[in-house]
Amino acid sequence: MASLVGQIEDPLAGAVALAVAGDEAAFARIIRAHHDDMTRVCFLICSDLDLADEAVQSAWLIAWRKLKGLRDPARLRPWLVSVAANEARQILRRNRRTPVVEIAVMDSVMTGPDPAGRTGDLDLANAMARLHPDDRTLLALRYVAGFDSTELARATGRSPSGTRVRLARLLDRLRKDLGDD
Amino acid sequence: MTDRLDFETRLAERLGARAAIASRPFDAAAIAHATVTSDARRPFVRRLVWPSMRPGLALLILAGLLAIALLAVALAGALHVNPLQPPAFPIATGNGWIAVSANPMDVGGGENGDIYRVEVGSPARRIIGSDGDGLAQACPRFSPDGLWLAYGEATASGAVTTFRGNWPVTNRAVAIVRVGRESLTLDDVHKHLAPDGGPIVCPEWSPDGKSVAVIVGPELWIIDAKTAATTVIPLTITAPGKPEFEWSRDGSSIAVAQAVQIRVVHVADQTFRLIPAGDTPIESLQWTAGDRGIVFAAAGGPRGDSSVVRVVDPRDRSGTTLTLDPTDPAVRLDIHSVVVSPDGTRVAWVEGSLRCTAGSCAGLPARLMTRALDGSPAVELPVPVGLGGLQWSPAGDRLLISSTDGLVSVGLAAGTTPTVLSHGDLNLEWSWDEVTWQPLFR
Repeated sequence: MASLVGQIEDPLAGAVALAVAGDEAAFARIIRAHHDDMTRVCFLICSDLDLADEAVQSAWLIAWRKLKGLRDPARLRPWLVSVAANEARQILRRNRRTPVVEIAVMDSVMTGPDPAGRTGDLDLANAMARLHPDDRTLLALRYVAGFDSTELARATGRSPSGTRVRLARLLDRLRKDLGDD
Repeated sequence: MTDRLDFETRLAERLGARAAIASRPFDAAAIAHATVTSDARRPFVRRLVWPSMRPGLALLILAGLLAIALLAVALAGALHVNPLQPPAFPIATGNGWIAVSANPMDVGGGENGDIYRVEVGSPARRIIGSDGDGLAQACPRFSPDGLWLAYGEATASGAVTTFRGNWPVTNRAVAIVRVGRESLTLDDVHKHLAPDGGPIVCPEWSPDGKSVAVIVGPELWIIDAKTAATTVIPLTITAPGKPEFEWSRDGSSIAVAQAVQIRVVHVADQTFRLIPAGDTPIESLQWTAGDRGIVFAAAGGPRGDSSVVRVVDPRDRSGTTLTLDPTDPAVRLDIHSVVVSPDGTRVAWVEGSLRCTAGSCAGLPARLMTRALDGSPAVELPVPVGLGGLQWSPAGDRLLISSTDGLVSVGLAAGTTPTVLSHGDLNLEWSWDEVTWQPLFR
């Protein structure tokens, strides 16, 4: 029974072992499970679908090469998402992209019937664009990937308490920027 | 505190909704295959392990290495070799014959794409392909030494319904054939099959002539011209049509037009840099002398509805516009076919224009423009025919124009008479960039 619970909780543990051994199909199973999460996190960091795709593509190459170094398969998801987020930051750094003031909100967001909602989306996009990429990374990992403060600390190289403080300050700043205070 | 928690909850929802924009269908198996293939073909790097040794012996080895390095520097100085300079490939001294891939004149019938030899004073002769062979050939490219011809080949599609770039051809391949200097003898053939389905592939030779590069779907393939050993580099190309890419002059990198950016792929280790090139898609990528700049055409002008030729420095990403905006505010330019001379010091382009007044627009005659990259003003070269594709002669002394009117070369020197190579007997409507001129070395 215990092993069954283990399988349910960690269905990709076997896939990791197989992928480490060079099994492409097993690697595809891992991609199927995590690609979407990684892309969403990267998009929030880059604000650009193409750059997000680049980051995730680079992340998969790193993952394939370094998967054997992953000691705990249960940590696969935070590890992959962290690698992707780091690639997104690296790409932004290489591009030296200047945050823009106005960002076109994507069609899928604009299709909603609520004009106030559209304005809110635009405000959020602009507020995000004004943040440092490291801060966007923190928000993406916390609110899109659902990292707890320990995972955030591992991913960002800060202490868990330092991460919480940073996150609290970020929330305060966003509340002001979005007129929610 | 409750307000803060409420805000955090709402923020999480809104961030999640924004991030959901990036959720799109994907093919996990294809991503896995591309990743694994790319990794398997990366250069093998052996880790250097220093053996344990006595300090005295280590110092002796270091001194020996230092002596060898000093000797190498001295030798390089004596031979006038600067190791920091990229390898210099010779520029042709003469212009040989011209190969063209052309479609049948009867649009909607016949087979698509055979390769013809074109030269002054003779009618065009078909040299590759024949009626009924069921094969399409396109994009011929002479090797830098002029001794080989590479081209794309595929099972011919049916009737021509749109421009060649969107043909849904199958059994795609790259072919490389040996070409005699004085004859048409094709005495050696290498073929490398590419996956089925998609536009015919267009090869580009590396400057050293040792390999050709093609873009197949979202991948850049670098194929050894002798052994067919292939390196696959994943890309993220989303633009439809024929993807544009260009080898750097030292052969170390390939620039790929990727929407509004230039992706510079370093061939040796497959790393890449993205160079922002503005807000609109770019085309006509070309490298300048010493790989100090990448020239391209993009939208621009005062209102952003015109087009410009720009050059960007791939090292610091600084850019310069090489064209002037029209003085008449009602005129907007439509620039295409930007080409850099073989020595990398001049650029030429086709400058069409459109005058728009009171809701209607009228096209003006296109002009052939050229200018040096040193800052001198652009000059117009008179051309007796319509302007389509543009190409420099291998020796850099003439420009070759292809259009539905035919194939004409014009000299850069004042008073040079244009040379008509074909009077429209070849259908070059879709063949603007499918002309190649054999380099000669005397």
